[in-house]
Amino acid sequence: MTNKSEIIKTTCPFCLYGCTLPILETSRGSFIVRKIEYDVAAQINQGRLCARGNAATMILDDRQRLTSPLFKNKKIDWVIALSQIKHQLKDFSSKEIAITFDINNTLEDLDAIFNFANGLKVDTIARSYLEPETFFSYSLPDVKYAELKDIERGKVFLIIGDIFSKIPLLAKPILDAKYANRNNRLFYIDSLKTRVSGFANRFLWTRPGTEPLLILALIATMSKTAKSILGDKNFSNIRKVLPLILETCNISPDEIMEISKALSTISKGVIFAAMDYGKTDDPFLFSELAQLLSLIIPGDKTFCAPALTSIPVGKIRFSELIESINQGKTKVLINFGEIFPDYYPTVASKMNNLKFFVTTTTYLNNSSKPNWILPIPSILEKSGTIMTLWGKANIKPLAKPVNGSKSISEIIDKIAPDLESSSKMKVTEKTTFDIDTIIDRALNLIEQKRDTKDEMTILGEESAFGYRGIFTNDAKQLKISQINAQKLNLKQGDLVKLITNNIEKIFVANITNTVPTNVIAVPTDTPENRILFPMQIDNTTKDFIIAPAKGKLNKLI
Amino acid sequence: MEENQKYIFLDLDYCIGCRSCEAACRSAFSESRIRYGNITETVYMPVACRHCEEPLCAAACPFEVLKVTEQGLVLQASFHCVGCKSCILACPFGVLDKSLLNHVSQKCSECKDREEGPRCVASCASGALKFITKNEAKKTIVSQRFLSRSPFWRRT
Repeated sequence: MTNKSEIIKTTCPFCLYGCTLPILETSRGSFIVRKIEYDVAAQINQGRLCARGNAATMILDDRQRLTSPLFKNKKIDWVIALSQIKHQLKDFSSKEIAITFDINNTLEDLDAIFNFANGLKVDTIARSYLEPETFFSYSLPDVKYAELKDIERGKVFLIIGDIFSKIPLLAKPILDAKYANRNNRLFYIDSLKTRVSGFANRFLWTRPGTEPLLILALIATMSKTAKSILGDKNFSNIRKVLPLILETCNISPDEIMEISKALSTISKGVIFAAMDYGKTDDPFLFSELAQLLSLIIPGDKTFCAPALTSIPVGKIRFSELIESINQGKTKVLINFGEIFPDYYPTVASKMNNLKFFVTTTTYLNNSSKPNWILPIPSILEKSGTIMTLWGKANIKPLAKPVNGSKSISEIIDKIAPDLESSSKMKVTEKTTFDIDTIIDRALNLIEQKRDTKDEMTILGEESAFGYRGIFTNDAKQLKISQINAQKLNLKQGDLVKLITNNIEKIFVANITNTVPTNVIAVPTDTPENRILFPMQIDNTTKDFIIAPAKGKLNKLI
Repeated sequence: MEENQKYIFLDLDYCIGCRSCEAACRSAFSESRIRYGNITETVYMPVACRHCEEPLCAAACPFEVLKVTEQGLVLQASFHCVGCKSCILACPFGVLDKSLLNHVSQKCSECKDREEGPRCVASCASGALKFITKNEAKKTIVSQRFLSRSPFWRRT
């Protein structure tokens, strides 16, 4: 038996950093063995990969991969499935049909999906990717986005949120730049003491969900530039709320002044912003203020967020789609992607009102119960174009599509052949900055936070290592502070019951100093804990906000 | 022991605890052979086999499955391992995992099957793991900024 080896390279699609991901494929007779390789010559990542990239072979060969269409959870033939869907679609008018899509689509897939929507004259098309980072797609005009060279040459970095967990590969250029000179500075704002805090010259441990307020406080300290951009009146309004902000966040004025001074005096720098599922009360405010801060700080400062999301926003918001389903206007939903509805259990139940519901997926997951489940190739088996932080990148299939799957364009061809029209969707929404709305929202957030100091807050926490639960089973662990553990007479590893308005769940207690008093942190990398966090609709954007939850904890005896 | 034999070194100034090394090892060998722990709650420390000059794991092995090679590496002939866990108990650094995979203990081989060197080092997202000789290690700044505990370099 002869062995044939071949290295196949693609761009890693699991985040926006754009790493080169090579796989060594060895054929041994009819068997194929795949191993991850590390390409030292790769321009962006020099061979380095995070845990998600290392999971590529496991995702390709996962036993949970779906290999046949399902109708009401029973296997069905592709020909019957597609002809039935096509036939059933004819019974509904275009106003009763809705189409959704998520981030695991190439730009070519998205074009096919929009063509499909236009061909069917469907206007109810929405993004079914509901992660808080999508709020970064409300981009302010004039914001300068960081390139890799900006990070490498940077002298001062302000990180808001756990960027090392979102994009671990960013750590190398940031730390290299920080260590290059004794005067370089790294500042960090977060409500949990994460891995980034160990590297920061100053870590502002703010109260849960108050990160945007600290950004506003920083803006309030930069009088010259803030006045010229916002106007004297608006600036004095912000200045007035500064003491209130610092009191709400439990941060001393000296700490804010230290960061403000360094940000204003050191020339080159980058502002990083990241949000986790169930960690931010007002992601819109977070996104707008982080971008505004990058405009207001004097000197050459750029902005970098892990999801200046490359996927279009659609014609309506997902919350509007839910409303339309509740009102009975939308009767059919066709979803293209890999995440929805499994990763959003809170909204999945709303789909019961649909007459029929078709979704594509790569994994067999018992939590989702759409009528039709169609297996598609995973993003690692597709070719096409994806977006990265540094622009467009091509992906190549690392393996043949899993047996029994059909591509999105094949599915669309069979359901709705002979589509003619073609139009592209807008990728980001430029927003004009409205300072009154921002101040109102900030005051709301202050009000909301002032009265809740003694309640137990549940925060979501994500890490690259927890991706799809492949490398860890930490999903059953929750983090709790020593003070709260003492109150409940808890020991490390004790079983606890977490009770929220929605649900009761049993966890293993992990007593740690990385969460403040009255805060519980649970991992939200896999769908199972996501049900703890209720979804609210944001009044301005009509997007879903997945805010920290309230609840209480009991020791399980 | 050969002078040009390379070993895995850790630079604590760069380790962000992303566990990419562990993931790389696990994706290649089904079970990770590099352990992961932390010094403080924000300072992480992956621990790989030190390939001791007088390895206690090899001394404890009743079937001489673990041997020191001429290059100074401690390698395991997995085929002869009976899964008695003696090596696991003997390792003074706790690097060998308690669990067995297919009744065989899991021992780091510095990725002998890969010419370019260990996968954990190649994969290290922040560049904290280095694959260098002992002489090179003496000349390289490793974890000095961490050890200095100076706020100008790093807060711990």
